Amino acid sequence: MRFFGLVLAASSWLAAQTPLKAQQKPGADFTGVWMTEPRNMQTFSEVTDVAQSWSVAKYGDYIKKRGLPTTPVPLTPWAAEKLKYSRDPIGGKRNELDPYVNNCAPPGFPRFWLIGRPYEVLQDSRRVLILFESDHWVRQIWTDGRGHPKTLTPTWGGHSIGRWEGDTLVVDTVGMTDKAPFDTENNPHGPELHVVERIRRPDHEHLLVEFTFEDPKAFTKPWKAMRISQLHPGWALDDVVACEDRLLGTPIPVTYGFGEDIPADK
Amino acid sequence: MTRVWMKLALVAQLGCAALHAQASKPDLSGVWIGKPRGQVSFSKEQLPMRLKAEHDYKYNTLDASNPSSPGRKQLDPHIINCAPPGVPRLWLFDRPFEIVQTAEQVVVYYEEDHNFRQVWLDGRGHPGDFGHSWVGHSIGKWDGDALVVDTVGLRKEPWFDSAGHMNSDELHLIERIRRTDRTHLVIDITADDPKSFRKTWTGQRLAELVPNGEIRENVTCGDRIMNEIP
Repeated sequence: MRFFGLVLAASSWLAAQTPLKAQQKPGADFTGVWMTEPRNMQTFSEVTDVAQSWSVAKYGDYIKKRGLPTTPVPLTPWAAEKLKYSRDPIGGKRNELDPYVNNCAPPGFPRFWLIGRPYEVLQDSRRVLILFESDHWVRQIWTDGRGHPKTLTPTWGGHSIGRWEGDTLVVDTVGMTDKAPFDTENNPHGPELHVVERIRRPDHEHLLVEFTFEDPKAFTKPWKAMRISQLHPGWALDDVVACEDRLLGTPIPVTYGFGEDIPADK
Repeated sequence: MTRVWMKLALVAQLGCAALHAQASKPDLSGVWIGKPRGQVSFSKEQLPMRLKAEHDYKYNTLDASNPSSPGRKQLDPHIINCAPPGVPRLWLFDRPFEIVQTAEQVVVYYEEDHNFRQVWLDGRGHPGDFGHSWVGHSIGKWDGDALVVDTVGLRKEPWFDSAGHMNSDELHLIERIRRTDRTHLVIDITADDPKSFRKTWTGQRLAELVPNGEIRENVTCGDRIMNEIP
């Protein structure tokens, strides 16, 4: 009897010592470097049957024949007026142009998905971490069961929580600042933009994100879109800084020094 | 008989624990905050600057409170130009950083300016054609309880530290990061930069664990950007 007790104790101890990889990564494994295809898009493309019954050939054929049509964003009159204003290149309205270009602001969420630069996904037990090459942005999707905080100060990335539905990660994001445009087309959004992303790996090489956008101020109705990324094993992210060319063109110190030529010392 | 079994079990347990310790890498993961607050330089000593570096340093710090001083033009690019702080200065901010470990890499995610560094542990070398960036190219290896990070390809534009010292684009940085106990981290840096410094020198930054800490969103010049956008 004692012997069995000992065996039981030993086996439970051994189980406790085993670093269970599966325990650390619930759901599916999205780790790796990915690149959106098509790379740069002005706004999100519509959900197609490609997303429903997946095949690479079907997807390639789809892009080749039709391109990926963007979805007409169902703007409210307020949003349509704001878009019109921001596109007017005359007079004082110039300062309404893209804050990512004009103010060196972060692109913001969900626009990050439209920029043609790679991103890397890392996962641990409480979080999915996405490192974006663009603006060296880091996105944290909390998968530890927490909710959104009751009070949220608007931020560029918002607050993201996720849960696994089988192999699909369902991400809920709120709290994005309305200073950031919704997309590269400069469609606006309001402070109550709510984005749900269903992220899955339809095959080993691809990551599919299906979005549902909801915003009572900017959109007349909830609408759906999608974005596809391709896996790039062996790629490493570069370090990309917003307005880098402009930054390095302005007088950042180092080449001056009292306006004198300083002789090199030995 | 029972005693024999217990001894055997104990020996097996100790053996397994020893193997486990040998196989597992030191764990640096967690959210940390640099100490002491307000540290601006990695060394209390004067850095062994070459003439040009010394002139740049004096110029950067010349009468900084006087708005008409020529030094004003040369003030901190992280503030004036909203430029990333760069490596190794990122260690010196009073904002937390997180270390994330995987088998292939260690990611250091600094809250300041949402910068991240990827330290490759998979045996790769520095690429010959890397060029220069704000965080450079880092490779690492475990040396006992320390992670030794070797970084090259750092830009010359950002300040080396928050005191206003400057490095050149030939800076070669070694960081030894180790945990002295559960809640304390030591980052020893060795700076080798023949264009800026007369000799290789060493400095240090300490950090403390932030239990249940999280990195929040931070954008350089964030307030200014928010106010500029109508």
